[in-house]
Amino acid sequence: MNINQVRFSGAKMELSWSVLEIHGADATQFLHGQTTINIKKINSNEARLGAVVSLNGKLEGYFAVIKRHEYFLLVLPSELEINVLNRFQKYIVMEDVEIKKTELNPKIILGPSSKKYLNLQNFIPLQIFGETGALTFDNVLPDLPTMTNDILTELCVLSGFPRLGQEIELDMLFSETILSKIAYEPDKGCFLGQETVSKIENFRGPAYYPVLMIINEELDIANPQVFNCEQRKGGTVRSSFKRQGQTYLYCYLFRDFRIDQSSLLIEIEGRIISAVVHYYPYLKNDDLSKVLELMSLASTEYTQNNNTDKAKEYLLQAIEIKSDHADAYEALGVLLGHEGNFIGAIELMDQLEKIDPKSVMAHTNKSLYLMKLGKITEAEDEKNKATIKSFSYYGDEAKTKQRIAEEKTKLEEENKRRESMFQQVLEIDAEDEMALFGMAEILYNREQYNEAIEKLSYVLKVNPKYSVAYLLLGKCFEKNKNRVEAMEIYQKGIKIAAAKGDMMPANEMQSRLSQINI
Amino acid sequence: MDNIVEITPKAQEQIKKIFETEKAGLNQGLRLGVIGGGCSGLSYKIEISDPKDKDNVLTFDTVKVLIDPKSAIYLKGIVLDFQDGLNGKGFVFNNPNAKNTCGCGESFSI
Repeated sequence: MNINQVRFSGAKMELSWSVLEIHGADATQFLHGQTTINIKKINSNEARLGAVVSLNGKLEGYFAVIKRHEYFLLVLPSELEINVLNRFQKYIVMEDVEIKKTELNPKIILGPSSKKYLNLQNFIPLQIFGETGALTFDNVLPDLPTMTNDILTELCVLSGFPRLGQEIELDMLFSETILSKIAYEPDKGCFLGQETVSKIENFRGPAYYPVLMIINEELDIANPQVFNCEQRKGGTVRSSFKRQGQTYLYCYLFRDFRIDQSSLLIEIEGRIISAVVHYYPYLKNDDLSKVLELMSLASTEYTQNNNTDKAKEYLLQAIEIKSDHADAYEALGVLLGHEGNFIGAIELMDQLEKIDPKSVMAHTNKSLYLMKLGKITEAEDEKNKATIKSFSYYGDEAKTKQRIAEEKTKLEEENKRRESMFQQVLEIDAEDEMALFGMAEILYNREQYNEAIEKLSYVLKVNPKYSVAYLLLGKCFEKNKNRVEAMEIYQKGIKIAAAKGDMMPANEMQSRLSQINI
Repeated sequence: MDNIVEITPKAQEQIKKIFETEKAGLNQGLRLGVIGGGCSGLSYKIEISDPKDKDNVLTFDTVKVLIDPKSAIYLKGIVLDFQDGLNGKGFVFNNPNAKNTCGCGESFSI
């Protein structure tokens, strides 16, 4: 078994987790006040990940909450059962709430196959281990491959979903774990520990936070393991796996180094190693992302490895996952056409036309294949349909261009309004950095890059920590084709933005740096 | 890794000139694609474009070529050339897989 089998097809797994049952007239209100999620918004037979934290914002437990008609189920790692039970019992005063253990054994189907079971009563949708899943308490599971621990490790390291005792421990600051993203709803109102969680979020964010780091060699790393970076503690590796010449690390990384797609030199186990940082989720588990991955794999198999059969297999999986993805039908049809299977290719073009009635290629390709089969009249007919549809396509393109031109006109009107406002501010205070930056943005929008550079250089003289000014300055250098200057300013700006906690400009600068640094 | 497509030195020079005159951004590349229509069925498409996720990115000297996964299946093996001079056609796609090519050299069938 490999990870792609789970992600693109499916696997089953018995969770070694316990199940608590919570009922009573006040169960909803009680859980809502205790947990990090909006219990009131959970529908019947729906599951959501939630957590409980201490007054100091430390993790005391996490679980999947399932709402039944008259009660709730909490599905959680068995090691947390006593903790969570005791935690809840401590806060039941006069509420009509009763919590009891059950003998239920939760199992899960992970991957696209899980969708087939969600129409059945006994399966509940749940996002877990970085995958779509269907949770059940039934004793009999479908005939699917069984998940292995190695594959589970890969899924968790690549998706960021934590396992107790591996990627996550109790008493960690909730805000420093990935649960603050996947098991927290900030707008749900008060809960125990919420004040600490909000303070951390609103200040500079957590000091350490999970990221994926990828190293271009295979290493055995003992976990957990602290590593250094720039002669200070960089973070901790909690789990890892190696595959095809690379090592993947689930790390808690210090704020200053936490820039997406940046390269870091880390000191670990007595060695200095280069690692690339990636934000979670590294693997996306929505249908469209998986289909795009499969398209890319199919394309690589065909163009690089000359493996048409493997390419077709990937495309069929893509269609299984998302039956309305037009490109998959088109690509598969073209492959069949290359193999001389024109009848099969024509069937796929017919399906493509049903999914995308505007598709020109459905008719163009069908025309070519009909020609191969000697059906000239029908081929000409399809060619004419392609021509008519291409006019419609060009008509749409022209409308898009017109819309872009209209937006440009609106932008210039807005620029004029803002320009007037900034000029008034600068008349009062010639060193107002916001007004100067605003003027620079207007000049950039008008493609007056040299003038924008002048303004931005002055902004940075007035305030060398104005993060977004570095980003805009870099973009101006890019427009002027000054690659070296652009790279230098991005490198400087990334460090400053990261130290301030301005992650959006930091990440954008890193992204642009990666793109121009060929 | 074998390149999905090949670009002759002459075509590379011409592309560099176009990037200068069109003021292409530092991160932009030449996107190759296929569109329907044309006298023989399929036509090639060339445009300056930003890279997109999952693009195959091929580098020829300083020229970056972008091909999305679906287009790569159509374009596998083609050679992009440039024919200048009085009788020159400009950019020409030589497709070893093409069974028919129309006189203009822009449209092909497979």
